[in-house]
Amino acid sequence: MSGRAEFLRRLPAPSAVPSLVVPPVGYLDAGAPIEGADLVALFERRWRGLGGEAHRVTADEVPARVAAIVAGRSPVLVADDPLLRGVSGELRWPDCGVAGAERARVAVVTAVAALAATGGVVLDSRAARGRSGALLAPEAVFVLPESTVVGHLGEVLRHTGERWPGGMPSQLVVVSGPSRSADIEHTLTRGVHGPGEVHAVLVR
Amino acid sequence: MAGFSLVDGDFAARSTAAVADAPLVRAVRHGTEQMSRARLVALDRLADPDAVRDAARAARTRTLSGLRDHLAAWADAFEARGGRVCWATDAAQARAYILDVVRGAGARRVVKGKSMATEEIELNAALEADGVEVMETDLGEFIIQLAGEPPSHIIAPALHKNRFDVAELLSADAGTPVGPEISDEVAYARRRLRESFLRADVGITGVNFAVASAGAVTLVENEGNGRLCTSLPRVHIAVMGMERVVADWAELDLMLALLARSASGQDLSVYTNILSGPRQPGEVDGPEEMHVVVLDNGRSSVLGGQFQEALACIRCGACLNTCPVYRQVGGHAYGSVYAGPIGAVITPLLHESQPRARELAEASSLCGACHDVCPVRIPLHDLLVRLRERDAPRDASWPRRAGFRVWSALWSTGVGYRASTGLVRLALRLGARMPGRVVARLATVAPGWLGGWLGGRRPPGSPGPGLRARLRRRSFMEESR
Repeated sequence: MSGRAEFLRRLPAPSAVPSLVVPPVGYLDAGAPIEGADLVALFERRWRGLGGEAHRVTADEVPARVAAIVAGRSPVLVADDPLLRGVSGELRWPDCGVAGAERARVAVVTAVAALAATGGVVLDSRAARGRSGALLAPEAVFVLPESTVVGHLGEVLRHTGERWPGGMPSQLVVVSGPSRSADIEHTLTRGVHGPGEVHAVLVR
Repeated sequence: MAGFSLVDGDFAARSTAAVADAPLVRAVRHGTEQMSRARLVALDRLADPDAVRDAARAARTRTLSGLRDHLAAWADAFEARGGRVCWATDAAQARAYILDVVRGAGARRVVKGKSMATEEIELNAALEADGVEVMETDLGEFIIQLAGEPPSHIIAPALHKNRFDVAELLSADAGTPVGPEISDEVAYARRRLRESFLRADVGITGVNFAVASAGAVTLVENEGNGRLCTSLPRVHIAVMGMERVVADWAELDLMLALLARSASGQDLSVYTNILSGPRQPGEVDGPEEMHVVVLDNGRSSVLGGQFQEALACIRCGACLNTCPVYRQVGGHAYGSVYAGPIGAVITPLLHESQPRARELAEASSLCGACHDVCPVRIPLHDLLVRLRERDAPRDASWPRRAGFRVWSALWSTGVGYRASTGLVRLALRLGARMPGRVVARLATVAPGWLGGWLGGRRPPGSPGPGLRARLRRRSFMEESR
């Protein structure tokens, strides 16, 4: 097996490589400027554009609204999270484990942020949702405070140190709409492996 | 999947067969046109897409220049979070390490996310020879695994198949009719592969970018199979070409702003997975072990040389979708894991020892459309010319040398250029009046390489007025208006 030192020795030293001079451009301009925009409204519009459903509620309305969304589906997985207090379901994450998550018809978890410019919710792998809590069921409901909506992905990525002071979670995933594929005849189909139906519940 | 020989046969024979395959031509044209259109719309949503591409090009160049240090920093940070790194000089070392990990885990079942790097090292054949069941879980990859074929496009591996082809393959797998409705086919794949995910001991994926400052790797995908491969099995192995490194989060942000937009016309892929090691303290699920195989396999000899820019590629596939050659023949004609313009550049570079790989540099009209769409502005057509120059025989006959000298002298002056194109226009006009038979006959009597060149081409017919003439006429009409 090739060792690290031997592997890296074959690479040229940094100074030996010619470098191009191109004027620097602010990374923040990578997305369309959204200064002054209503981020929550923009997120709703983009998220719907991707095929998701969006709901705006007060904290008190969360249990009733979630109940309305999941009505008729069973079993419902609900993550153990303060924001979901009062939300009822047959399965409790993480106690139900992966086997429970696989049985769930719909999973209700919280998200840590949402991206207005592209329409996506950000999940981390801390215990409250894990990696698989909202991955295996055919439907997912993401509940998050409106205050966590930001403009661009870069605003999350560039502040990982402040957001996760104890170190990054092992997984961070941006979910931009329902699972999809266009691998057959370039025809868009939903719900290939991940949830094919996704809801965002924004809490005022 | 059977190991795919990189350079069997020749490009001319494979592409001739491809263009005669009407369903394949239709499928490739449909897919590439859709992706090209979607890319344009998506890039237009950026405030200043050209500036973003300039910045991305500068960032890739800077990071490649310091790749040695960035790789070392990435490995330190990744190992500090409990990840393990394999430094693989070539494909054999990468396969050996992965087989070791799989054996050590006592694994009999492996699920795979779409990965060009594992195609490059022909991993599936090695695992299967070891008695391991390997399931490709990306829908397109699953389809071509059932067909026993290699991928025909970097991001759309089953681009060349239609729903009826897929129905046949899935029905054979199921032992009962499936399809040809696409929604039924997808539902079958979901059920079938879900079993595999739940039973697999090891998940193997590729890597889109490794973030040096954080020790993280990212994986973008639309279906959720990447999330499943990296969440459920006890062991996760990711394989990456060593050039996939970005310096920091800001650079990742920049690359992600371009990758999905250039590839499929999405602002972001449905799932952007950022993985920083195996399950951390306090987490309830995720793999207990995470390994990353860093693959050289010929890349270090490209770094620092005249072809280094080829390593800036972020594997979006935009150059395939726009290439007039790829759009006609599809991916398999290239006979390489990497098809299209970028494949024509890196295949000869990564397979120096295989003389047949060189001919791919000829599989281009040098129109430069690939350069126009490349998110990191790799001058692919220049690199192709440099490859041709590098590999050109130095023993051309004196008439050929003389011919090129005269051509060069003529086109170095305006008068010479106009005179020579005027002559060609005259010849074409005369040729258009001649019966096709005579033209074909002329081709056979033309000497040596000229006859070969003419033999493979059809005369374009009588030309209309040239660009200069048309411009003159237009400015005259504008003035007299």
